[in-house]
Amino acid sequence: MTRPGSDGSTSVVAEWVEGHADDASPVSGEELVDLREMLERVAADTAAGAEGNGPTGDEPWRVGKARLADLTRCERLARTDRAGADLSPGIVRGVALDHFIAHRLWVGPVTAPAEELTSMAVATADHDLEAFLESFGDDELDEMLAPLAAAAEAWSGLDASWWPRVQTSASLVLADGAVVSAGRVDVELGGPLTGRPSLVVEVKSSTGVRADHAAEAYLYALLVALRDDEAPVAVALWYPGGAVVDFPVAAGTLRAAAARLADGIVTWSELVAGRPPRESPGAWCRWCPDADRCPSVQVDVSSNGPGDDRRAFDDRPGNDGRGRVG
Amino acid sequence: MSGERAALVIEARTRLLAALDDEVGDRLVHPGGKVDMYADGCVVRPWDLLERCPARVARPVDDFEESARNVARRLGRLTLRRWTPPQAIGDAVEDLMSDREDWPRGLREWFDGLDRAGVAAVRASTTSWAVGAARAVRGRPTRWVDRTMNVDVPGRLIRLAAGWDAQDAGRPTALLVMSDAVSSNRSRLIAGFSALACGLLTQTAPERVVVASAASGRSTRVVVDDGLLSLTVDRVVDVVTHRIEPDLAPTQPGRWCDDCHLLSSCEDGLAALGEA
Repeated sequence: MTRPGSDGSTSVVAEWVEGHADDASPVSGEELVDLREMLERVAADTAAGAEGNGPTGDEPWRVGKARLADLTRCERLARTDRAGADLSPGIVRGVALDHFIAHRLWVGPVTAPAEELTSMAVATADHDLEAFLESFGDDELDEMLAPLAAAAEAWSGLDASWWPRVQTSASLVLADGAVVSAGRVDVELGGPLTGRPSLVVEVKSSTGVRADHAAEAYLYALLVALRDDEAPVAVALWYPGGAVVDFPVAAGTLRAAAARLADGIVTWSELVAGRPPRESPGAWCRWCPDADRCPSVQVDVSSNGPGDDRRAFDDRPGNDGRGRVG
Repeated sequence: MSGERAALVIEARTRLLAALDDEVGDRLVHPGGKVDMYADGCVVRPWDLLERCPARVARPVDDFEESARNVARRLGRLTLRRWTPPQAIGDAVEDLMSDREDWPRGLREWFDGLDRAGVAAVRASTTSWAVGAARAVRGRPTRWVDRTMNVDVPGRLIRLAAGWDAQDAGRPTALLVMSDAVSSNRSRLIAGFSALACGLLTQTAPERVVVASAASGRSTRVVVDDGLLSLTVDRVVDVVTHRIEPDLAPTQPGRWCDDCHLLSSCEDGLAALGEA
């Protein structure tokens, strides 16, 4: 884990990480307690006010990254069932990138992308991924995976004292489990026990920062902060071949994330209770399951659906990388 | 105090055996000698007690295979047994994977079959689990177990595959279970299952079980008393009863039907999803 980049230089990620080495946690413990209490109050009141089938610990309301993003875009989209989407090249690119980063962090450079991704699919018993990879020709796979393997070199040179972890869970459990906001963090560094400040990195397989990426980043900051009772000093988005986009964390950004989550809980409770969803057409109509019957749909949905979009997977708001939501 | 803890176990054991006599009768009686509990018996696991649909309890999915995710907990515990702060846990994982002498044989054989990329996947998942667990106990001295604790019910072909992960080093009568169960009710069942199994194994009931979630960073402390053990015994007997008479197990349709392995043949589940 202390290997330098293949050319011996400091990698872009290691440079960003070391740049935060002396940062102190930017939010006080009291502030975090206040945020948790506010969210607990909203969740408990909302769940208690639900008529009929209110949420329970067995069947909680799940208000995670995907659902919050969808609620911001279009309430009707948020109410659709998009779980269990099949693997597409776009999704596989995201999964491959996650695996290649783990490979780079723990055993070194990815030298045979298709073969090594297949090995990681086997080791993780990801049979869907295995089948997908088998269905592709070698040349096509190389074309898809080689740039991602090369981009993962940006993760070389991380000092082991940062205790890198990948695909970690961060969940906020409210109202005795009746309301849950769960997230899966791509990479965590530092934090409690490590003697280093806490850093969070979200890996994006597309390029370019979108406006809603900040909301996503700060939701993760909030979930990690309330899990650890220690706020990360920064959350970053990393794109293959690009720089690390830094989102500094402060009390105000966490307050805004908590307010957004609270609004999301309330809105979701209203929709579950039967309030007709507001339709807010936009680019997301392209992948909305209701597009063929929604009176507000505005775009041509006959082309460029998510299943055959090879590049713009991350432009599908709220997808967690495997087609699961909430 | 120790007499009270022993009495709790005697009471729970008596209740369990009597209920099994009533519900199971002469089925699942241990014939004596060596048996394959997995082939011929009934193995109850913690999550069986949390299952909401009795039909799923009766016919559990049988698709277990080793994977980086499945082994993370076992290897994570072995890592934490060796780990001494302030060592980086990632380094402790690396040490563990270099020296596999104390690994269970099947796990070692599986790992030995992995190539470099497979090893990366296992190191990644194990490190994440171990750091999450260490963080959840907030550095408190903890004696991590080195294997899944299997406890067989006396005289029966029934095994409790208990899931406690550790004991408090300063208070061995306190167990720790790592679980992301979200509600206090579910945490109680998880705690009760480990308490019952541990009690049957050691003849004394633990004082408490802490159910800690790495995902939420929160812990639930469950006191082990007669109420908890009775609740757990009743749930265990329910599971065994459904397993021996699977056709009699009712369905409980819900959100979980969507990914249920029984869905294609379950009318209630299909109806609940609007697919009947």
